[in-house]
Amino acid sequence: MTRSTTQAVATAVTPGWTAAPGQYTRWDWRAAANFVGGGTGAGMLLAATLFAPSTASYRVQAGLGLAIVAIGLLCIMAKLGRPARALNIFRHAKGSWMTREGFAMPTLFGCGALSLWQPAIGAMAVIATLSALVFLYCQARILNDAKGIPAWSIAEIVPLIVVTGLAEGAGLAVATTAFVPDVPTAGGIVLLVAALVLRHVAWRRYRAALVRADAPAAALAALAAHARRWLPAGDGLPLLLAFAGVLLGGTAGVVAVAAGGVLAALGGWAFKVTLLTRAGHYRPKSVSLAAGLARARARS
Amino acid sequence: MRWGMTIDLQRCTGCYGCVIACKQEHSTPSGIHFRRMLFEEVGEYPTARRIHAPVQCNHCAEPPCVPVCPTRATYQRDDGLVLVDSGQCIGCGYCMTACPYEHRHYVDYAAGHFDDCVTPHEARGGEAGHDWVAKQDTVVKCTFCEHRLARAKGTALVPGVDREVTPACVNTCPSEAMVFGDLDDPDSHVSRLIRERNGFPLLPEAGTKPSVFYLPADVMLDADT
Repeated sequence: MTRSTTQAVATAVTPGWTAAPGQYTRWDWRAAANFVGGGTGAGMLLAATLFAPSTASYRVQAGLGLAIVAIGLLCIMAKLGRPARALNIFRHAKGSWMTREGFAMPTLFGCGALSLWQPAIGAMAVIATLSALVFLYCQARILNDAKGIPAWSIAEIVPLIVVTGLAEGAGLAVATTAFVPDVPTAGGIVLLVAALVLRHVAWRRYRAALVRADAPAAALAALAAHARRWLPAGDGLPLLLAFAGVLLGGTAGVVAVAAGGVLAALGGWAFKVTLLTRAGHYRPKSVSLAAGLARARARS
Repeated sequence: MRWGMTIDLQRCTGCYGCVIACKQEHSTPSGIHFRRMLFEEVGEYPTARRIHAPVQCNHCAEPPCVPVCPTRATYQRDDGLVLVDSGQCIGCGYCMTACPYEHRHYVDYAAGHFDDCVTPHEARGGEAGHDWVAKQDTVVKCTFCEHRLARAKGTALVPGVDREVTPACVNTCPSEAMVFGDLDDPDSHVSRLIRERNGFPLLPEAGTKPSVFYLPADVMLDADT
């Protein structure tokens, strides 16, 4: 028996297991990319449909949004164990939010693609945007149904994921206007500011609920580390830059708003990477006799 | 009918017999154990101690892994068993996030335990006859030895009573810490044990209504308070 074989056998026959919460690691950056794509894409389509300054800007923003959603889906396809069976995800619409997410795709991409060739922003854009919002909501509920992982399954994750996606998309949408070139509309900037404020409120509610729910300490620590780095840079600074951009006006104003938009998007992406790859800790288990007895006594 | 199990923590010595019996029965790939031994530190110095309990899929009455599965590969039978149809599974891993017990396993590597050969036992997938190569890149889990339960059909054999149709882990336990039977029958051995010994499930707060119950020891140390 070779040394590597010996080690393999030793690994295989030592199934001691600790009650401490383990971390789910199968969903890596590729899974995070899917959540990033769904959120950013939905936010961009919403911002483009409602507030694009011109049809040309709409095409850039919506086209980029669709591409980002598609890239996220390609990433998750690469993570599937059996990608050849991917169409099986459509088999459980009654119960699985992952199936429902899948059902939002045809109208999202079909109508979204058609809308890029329309002479004006119209019905196709609206249908694609609504589909993107459904797609984003399904993603939030996917995490909410991950009942083994407190940081994902807590109810407050749903509004947080939705408004984070909107902030990312609104941020990138205003940023693209600097390259079209065009000037962000007031509505686009208001959407960005509103999404950032709502994201901050949703984040605070989420963190407080996690602490109340006695979430695993390692998950709380990972999220706290993210907050230290990204709350100022991803929420505070973009707000300041948006206000500065409005006050400055002109090219400097466009650049300031665009920079704020990019930071808002980066903050959301960093949150999702942290949530998926560093805060996915399971609940601690206990077979403490005293705890079990206490539960049994309470029941009887 | 709802199959279930009790594990008597007073009788269990932590010998790993059930863990190895399960490994033998299913010939699971390297690193995958349908049954494991959970260790937990209780109390603080100088009265700290370590307690243990065998753990496995709880075949919950309300399994959170079933509704999330987008492919319906994970399903619940009328007798309470929660199983995976590996022919449908896409290996997305979503069910693994839904199980609070961490008892769903992804098959990364389905080859044998040895570099230079696959043993005859591995080749036939253990006594359960798993085709592990076909299950590569999918999610697998404890089956409550469904292949053994199936042998009872059309016979007078009773799972939990007759060894041929009882899960391997229960059969092998030298201290008879485990009992298998019908939780829906109030007069079954498992139902009586749960009732009389105040059996409790793991993580009841998860709301999954597990079918595996632990029977607390009747002696409690100060450290475990």
